[in-house]
Amino acid sequence: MSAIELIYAALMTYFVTLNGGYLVLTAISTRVNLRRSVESGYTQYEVLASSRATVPVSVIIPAYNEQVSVIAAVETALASEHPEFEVILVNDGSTDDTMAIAIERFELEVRDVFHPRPLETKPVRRVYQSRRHPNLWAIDKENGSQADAYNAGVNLARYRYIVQVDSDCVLDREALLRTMRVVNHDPGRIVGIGGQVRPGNGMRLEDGRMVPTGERKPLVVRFQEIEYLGVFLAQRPAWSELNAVPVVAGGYGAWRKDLLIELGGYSTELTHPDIEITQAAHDRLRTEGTPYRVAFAPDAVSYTEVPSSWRDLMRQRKRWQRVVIETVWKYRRMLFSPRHGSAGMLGMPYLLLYEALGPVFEVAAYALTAWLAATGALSVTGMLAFLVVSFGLSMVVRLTGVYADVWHLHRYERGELVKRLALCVLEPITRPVLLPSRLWALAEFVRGQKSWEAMTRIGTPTIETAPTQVAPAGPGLKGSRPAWAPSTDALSVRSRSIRAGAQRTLPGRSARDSSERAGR
Amino acid sequence: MRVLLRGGVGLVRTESLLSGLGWAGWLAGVSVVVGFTWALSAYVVSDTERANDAVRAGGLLVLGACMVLTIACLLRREWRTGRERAHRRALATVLAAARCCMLLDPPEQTKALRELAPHVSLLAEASETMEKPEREELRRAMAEALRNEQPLIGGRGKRGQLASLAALGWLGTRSTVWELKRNLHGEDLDRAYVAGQALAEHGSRYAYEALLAGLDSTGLPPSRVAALLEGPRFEGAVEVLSRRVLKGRLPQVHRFWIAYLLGNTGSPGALQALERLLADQDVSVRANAAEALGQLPCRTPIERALRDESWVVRCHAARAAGVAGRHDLAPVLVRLLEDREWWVRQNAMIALKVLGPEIREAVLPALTGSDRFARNKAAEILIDFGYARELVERLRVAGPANVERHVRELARAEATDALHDVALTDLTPAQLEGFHELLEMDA
Repeated sequence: MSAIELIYAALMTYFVTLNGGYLVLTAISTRVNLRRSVESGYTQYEVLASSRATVPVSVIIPAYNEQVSVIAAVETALASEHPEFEVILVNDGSTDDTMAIAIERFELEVRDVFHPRPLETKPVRRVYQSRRHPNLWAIDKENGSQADAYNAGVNLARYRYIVQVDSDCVLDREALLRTMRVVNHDPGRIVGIGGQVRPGNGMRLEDGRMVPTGERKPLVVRFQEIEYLGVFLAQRPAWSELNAVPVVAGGYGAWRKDLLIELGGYSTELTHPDIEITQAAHDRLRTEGTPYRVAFAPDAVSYTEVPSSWRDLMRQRKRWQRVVIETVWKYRRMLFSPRHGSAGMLGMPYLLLYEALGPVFEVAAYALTAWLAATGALSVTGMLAFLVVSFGLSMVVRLTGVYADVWHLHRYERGELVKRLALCVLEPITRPVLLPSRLWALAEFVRGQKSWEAMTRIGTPTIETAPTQVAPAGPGLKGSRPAWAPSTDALSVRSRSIRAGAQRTLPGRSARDSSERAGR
Repeated sequence: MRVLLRGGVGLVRTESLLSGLGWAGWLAGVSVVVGFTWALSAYVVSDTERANDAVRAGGLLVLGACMVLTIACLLRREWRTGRERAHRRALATVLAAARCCMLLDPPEQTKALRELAPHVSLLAEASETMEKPEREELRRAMAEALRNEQPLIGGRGKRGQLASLAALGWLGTRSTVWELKRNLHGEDLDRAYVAGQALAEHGSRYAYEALLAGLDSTGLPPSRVAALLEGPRFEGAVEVLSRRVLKGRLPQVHRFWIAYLLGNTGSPGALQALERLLADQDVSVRANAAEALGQLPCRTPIERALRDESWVVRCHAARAAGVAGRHDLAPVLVRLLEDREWWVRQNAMIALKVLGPEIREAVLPALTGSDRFARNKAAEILIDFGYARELVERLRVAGPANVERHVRELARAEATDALHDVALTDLTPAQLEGFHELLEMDA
């Protein structure tokens, strides 16, 4: 065999192992989904929703220039069916009316809150509490990053479990309950838990639930629906069984507060902190030899607004790709490390070979195939082989994702299901389309660049369509700050001096928190 | 009924078939992977013909896999819709049959209801659409009819068996308790959980005690069992729980959750047991007992818990004092604003807010205390009670001299923002200027 043939064979092997791996993950996921679906069938959620024995949670929603979507995110979080929870909205120095809209809508009042601040963050300007919803808090802070906003929220959070929700995400009413139900089974070991994120485009919020509007969705959104199903229903449950979840999605996921504090909070080095914190948890706990689990609840659903144009999608994927590469680079010590168990032997190699370096292999394969075909060196059978292993197997993988959804969770109208199945056949072609942006991310990583181009958002329509009065932006609703008032910097200095004093870092306490320590 | 049963069996078989179709699609995908590994190996050793054959076969298999999976998805959807329709029909049939049975004379009724025994899970589900008295009457009649029968765990497949198990709770006969208890302690967690739910619904003393025993001897998390124990209709719960505490040496898990459950009963009869638990060696048990005291509608020794050596207990006791509306404990709670543990301070603050404006006089001295947190929180509580508005009103009516000392205190407590917010809405521009001067003087 010539060198070219060997390279070609190697690239084919790459596709075969990639899709073969996905099929194995699908098989494992099917088992998990089946178990969850049986459990969900008999679980009386109303009992859990009214019992104080259910573990309470703090929901953190960071927002930066999210005036379009922040209200829906907070309102659906507040409408959650959970016996005890708090929602913490963190305004990360938005330059639009995000904070003003929230103040107006939720009747937020300034609170002088002195609380432990174990995680360093950018200065907090003010802390608010809602008059209408006493369990809604809001932090107005200087612009840092999404991670910085999460950290500010963690500082204020009262409860042992922190749920992270992106401000463009809408929570299903039972999402918190379904998440905590899984945690309840093994609270001593479960440190993190992911949920299913579904595209919410073309849906509206009606009585706290997402329902389709019936509008025509762009093809790019349709493709992402198929992709998300594959990832969240056919892969993520299997990764959780292997205890090597590569990422607890920022869109919806939960972490134990004490672990977050131990890890020093979400890392502000990366654009997306979700993948980094997941790998940091694996790294720390495997190195220490602490028994732990990062679980996944496929029936805990949140809806996110996905890019609705190819341009936005390419930007998003470029960002995701760069963060994956950065994370793999940061935790390269975990690669093939037996000490890190499945996270080091399976999870991290997967991230490196199929996510971080994936575009390089794929571009090489497409280029080589095209070149060989053009020069007549590739037979029809060889071409067929390439198409089958690269696209054909991807179709099978996507179809298994939809099958899992149809089997266990979702009810589709007949027409909608037919459309989805047809799109599964077309979806694999999006991979080559997104390759340039993913390759560009590699270049950005090499050059040390970091960028976040804003995505065009339209927000989630709600059934009540009363226009929201927008209050003027500023430190308070009732006019500008008077001359006598201390500046925001002075306030933060004061807070820091108190922090350094008598206050200690303690995890949130409640009857349920104590029970986890004592009752098991 | 027989037709119904036969139809059910057919549906279960269809489910297996559909599941098999899905797996066939998946298997075809895996075969492609294996086939291509084989083809590659053939290609490497230059056996081109074999490699070509494998590739063609792989292509066909992929097509086949896609088709099989597509068909499986569509069939599954149709099957599910059909099954739901059939289930609704079955529920209506069973319900109609049960209503007919109820019209019969007693001996005939018993005989007819026994005929329905295999469908008791359907009956339990269908009866949820009935009015409560009718539902209760049907349940009682069914229980009477099946009094001496062995409990029936029927249904094909796991879901069917779980439904039957759940129906035993609805039935509520004494003979079902043993069966439910056996399942609660079994290794199958699904059955254990459903059995727990059924015991909770059973509502008898035996069922309650069986469930209580499941706190530490089942695979279920104790918090789930406790959640189930919270809701039963059984009225003698306080007596059962108290007797256990006062009599025996219980494991820590039991003491912990019994303290919690006693609080939930909200019955004064729980006081004696809670007092015993308040003296427990275990901090978590004492903490739960302290919190439970807040839920009893009588005078309880919360004060003792507020002075406990463990901060966790003080924390929960503070919450309890707030929930119980113990105004007499306000001075103690104000002192706790200076506790060395942050969580105790925080809970004391929340409790004071809950107690309401009646405790204003007890909080006022804290404004001039030495602890910064206590000062600030006292100010926050007072402002919540309308203190800021009152000061602004006095300022408006009687001038700055009348409120100077109080504004000074609030400024020291770093709580002038809220005062200013009120002043902005209530004072005239001239008065506001004077107010600013007052604040600047403090600064």
